[in-house]
Amino acid sequence: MSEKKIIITGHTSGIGKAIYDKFKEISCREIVGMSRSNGYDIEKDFDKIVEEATGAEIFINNAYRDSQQLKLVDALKDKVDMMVVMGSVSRFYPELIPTNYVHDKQALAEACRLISLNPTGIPLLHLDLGFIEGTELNSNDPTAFTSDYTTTKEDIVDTIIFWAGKPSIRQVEFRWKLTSHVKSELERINPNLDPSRIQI
Amino acid sequence: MKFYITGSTRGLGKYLAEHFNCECLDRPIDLNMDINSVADSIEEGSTVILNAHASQLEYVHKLKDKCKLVICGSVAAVNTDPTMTEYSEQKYNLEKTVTKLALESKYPILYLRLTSSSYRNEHLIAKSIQFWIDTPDVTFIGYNINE
Repeated sequence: MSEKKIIITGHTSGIGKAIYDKFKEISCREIVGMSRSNGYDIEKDFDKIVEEATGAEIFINNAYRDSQQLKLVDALKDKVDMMVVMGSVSRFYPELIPTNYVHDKQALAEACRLISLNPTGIPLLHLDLGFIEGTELNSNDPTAFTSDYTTTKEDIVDTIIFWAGKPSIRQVEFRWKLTSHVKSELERINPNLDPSRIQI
Repeated sequence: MKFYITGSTRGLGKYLAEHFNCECLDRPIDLNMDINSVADSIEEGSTVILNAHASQLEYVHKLKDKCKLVICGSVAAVNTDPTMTEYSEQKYNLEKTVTKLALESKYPILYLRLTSSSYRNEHLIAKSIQFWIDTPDVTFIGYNINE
C-alpha cells in the first residue's frame, strides 16, 4: 500500500519526465516514477504496479503500450484517489490514422467516459493530447509522424496541476492542428487517405 | 482584453459577465434576428462567451476568424435527453462543429461541455475560462456529470 503518493508511469522521457520533474519541484507528496528502466514494465510488471499504486493520491497513467494503459485504468479505478489518463486527440481520426495506437486510445477514452458517468467513480481526468514539443519519433514504427505545431509540455503539466484542485473537470482536449506538414505525413502513412477529408 | 457575453441576465451568464467585466449582448438585442449586426459590433481580437443557446452555431461561424470564442455546450450533446431531443441534437451539432473548427481557427476556441451541476458551479467555469486564456491550446473541457 502506498499512501499520499503521486505515481507516474513512463517518467523517464517526454511528457512523463516533464510531469515527474515538475511534481518533484512543487509537491510535498512523495513522487514515484515507474518505468522499465527502474523495474516497472507496464506489461511484465503489471501486478507489481497495481499493488504498489494502490492507495496513491494521484496515479498518472502516462506510459503507452498496446492495451496496457486501459488495463491499468480498469485495475486501479477503485484503488487510487484520483487518476490522470494520457489519451490522444488522434482518437477522433481513425479514418485518417488507421493504426492500433488510435484504436487503443479510442478504447481508453471510452473507458474513462464510463467512469465519469459512474456516481461513485473516482475523479479521473482524461487528456486528449495533441502533438507535444520535443517528442522523439519511434523509428521502428512506420506509422509514427510529427507535426510542425506542438503543445508545450509546460501547458500540459499546468493543466494537470489546475485539475488537481478542481477534480470535477473530467476531459480536456488540446489543439491538433492540421497543417500542410501533417497532411503530407498522413498521406505518407495512409495510402488510402481520402484527400477531401484533409482539406486545409 | 475586451469581453462580450450572450445570455447574461441570470445564472452562469450573469456570474461570468461580472467576473470578466463583459459587455452584455442581451435584450433588446434579438440574438436570432440580429446576427449580422451583433457580429459586426464586436471588436476584432476580443473574447466572446457564447452562453445563450440562441443561434450559437451561427455566431461561431460569424466570429471564429475575428475573435476568441468560448462556447457553452452541454453534456446533452452526448447523453441525449429524451424529453429534449431537438435541444440535444442542436448541442450535438454544435459540439461536433466547434471541436473540428477549434483545430484550425485563426483565434483560439474553447468548447465547454457543461453538466447541470457544473452549470451551477460558476466559480469553476470562470476558473476554467481563465485557465484557457493562459493556455489557449486547450480546446475542450468536459465536466463530471455527477458533481
